Amino acid sequence: MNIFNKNNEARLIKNAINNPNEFRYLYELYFEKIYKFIVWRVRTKEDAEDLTSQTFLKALDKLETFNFKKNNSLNSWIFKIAHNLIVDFYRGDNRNNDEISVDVVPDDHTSSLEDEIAFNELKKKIAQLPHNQAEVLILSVIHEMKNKEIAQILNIKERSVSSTLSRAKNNLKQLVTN
Amino acid sequence: MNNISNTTIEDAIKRLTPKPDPELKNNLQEVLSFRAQSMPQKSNKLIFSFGAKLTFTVFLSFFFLLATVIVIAQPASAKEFIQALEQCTLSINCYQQWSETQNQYGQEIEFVEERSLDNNDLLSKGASLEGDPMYEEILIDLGAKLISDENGVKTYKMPITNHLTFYDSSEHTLNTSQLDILEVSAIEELIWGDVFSDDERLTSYFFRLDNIGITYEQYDTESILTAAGAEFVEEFDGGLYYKWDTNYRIEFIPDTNLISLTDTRIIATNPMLRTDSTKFIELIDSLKLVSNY
Repeated sequence: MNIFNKNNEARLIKNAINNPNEFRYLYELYFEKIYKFIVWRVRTKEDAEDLTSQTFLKALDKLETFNFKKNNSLNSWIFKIAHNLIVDFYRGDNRNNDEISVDVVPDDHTSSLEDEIAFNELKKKIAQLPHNQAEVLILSVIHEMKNKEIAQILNIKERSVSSTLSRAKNNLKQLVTN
Repeated sequence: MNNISNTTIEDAIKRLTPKPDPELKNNLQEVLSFRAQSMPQKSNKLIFSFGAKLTFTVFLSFFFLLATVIVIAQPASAKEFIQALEQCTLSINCYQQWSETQNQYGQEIEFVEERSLDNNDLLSKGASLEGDPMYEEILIDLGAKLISDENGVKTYKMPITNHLTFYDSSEHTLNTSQLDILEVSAIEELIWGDVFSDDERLTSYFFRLDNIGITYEQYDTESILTAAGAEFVEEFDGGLYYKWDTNYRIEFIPDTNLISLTDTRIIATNPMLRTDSTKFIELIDSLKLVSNY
C-alpha cells in the first residue's frame, strides 16, 4: 500500500482475477518483499526459494477469494500466505527453532563475504527467538509494517505487536551480545 | 558478530538481508505464466457491462440504505448519470469511463444523503421519489414495495435494513430490521469505490448468523454447520470453507459471524447469475432447526 492506493490495487487485483496473466504485475510488486521475509525464517536458501514459489502459486490460485472487506490489503493477504506456509513448513517437517541452523551461505552477488557470514550469524540468533517474535521483528524492521498490518498477518492482537517487538529486540540484543 | 554489535540490530537486519536470485525470479515468473495460461479468463466485456448496471443499482441501493427514505431532488443529475452509463459501450475503455462517472456522482450521493438525514419525518416512513420508470424498475428489482402513490410522488419501502454495520458506518444507523438477508455486494461496491466486481460477491448470498440467534459467543457455529449437513473442506485466510448439498459452498467467517452460500456451478459457468435463493432459505431453515436442539 506504499506504492498503490486502494483503488489502484483493487484494479490490479480485478484485472488479475479476470485475466490470470495479469498476475505478473502483482508478482513484480511482491516477489522481492516476500523472499526477504522468508529468507530470514527458514534454514536454507533453497527452502526460502521453495516457499517463495509456493507463496505466489497459492496466491495465484486463491486470488479469486481475495476480498477487501476481509483482507484489508493485498500486502497483508500475501504476507499471510507466506506466514502460513512457514508455519506449515515447520509443522510438516516437525522442526523447531532450536534445530534451525544456517548451513548454506546465501548466494547473493551484491553482498561481501563478510556480510554473508554476518547474515548467517544473525539469522542463527533470530532463529533462537520464538516464532512470533522473529516474525514480528522481520516484518517490522525489513518491511516497516505498522502494528495493525502485522497483527492481521500473524493473526494476533494489535496491542500485543508492540510488546512482542520489544521483547524480540531485547532478546536479540542479548543473544548478539552473548 | 563484530559488525553487528557495532551497529543497531535493525540496521544490521536491513543491511544484511540478501536479495533473491534473479534466476529464481525469472523461473518462477515462467511457472506462474504457464499456470496462468491454463486458468480460465473471464469476459471483461460482460463484467464491465454488468458492473456498470450493478453499480448503478448499488447507487440506488446505497442511497436507500443510508436513509431508507430519500426524495430525489436532483433528477437532472441522475439523468446525466444514466446518459453517461448509456455512452459507456462494451469496450475496454468503458471501465475507465465508468470510474470517472462514478467518482463524479459519488459526490451527488453525499449531497442527497445530507438532505435526507436532515428530514427525520421522511426517514421513518419509506422511500419517496418522483416517477421515473427506470428508477421504479430498479427499485422493484431491489425488492422495494410500493406503499403509496399521491400526487405523482410514489413512496417505496426498501427491505434492506439492519446490516449497515457490516461496513462500519455507525453514523448512518438505520432503525428498522425486517429482513435478515443482505446482499453485501451492493454495499461493498461503494465502500471500496471503483468498480471492483468480485464475481463471488455477485453470485453469493451473505448472512449474519446473529440474525437467527446463532451468536458466536453462545453457539458452536462450526458444529451447527456440520449438523446442518455442511462438510468441512479447508480453512483459508480466516474463512472456513464447507461443501453443502453437493454443489454449494459455504464460507463461514468467524470474525464477523458471517456465512455466504455460493452455487459452485454458477462460479464455474456463468458468474453473472445468482445462487438460487430457495437454496439459501433452505440453508437458513436448516441452521435454525439445528440450533434449536
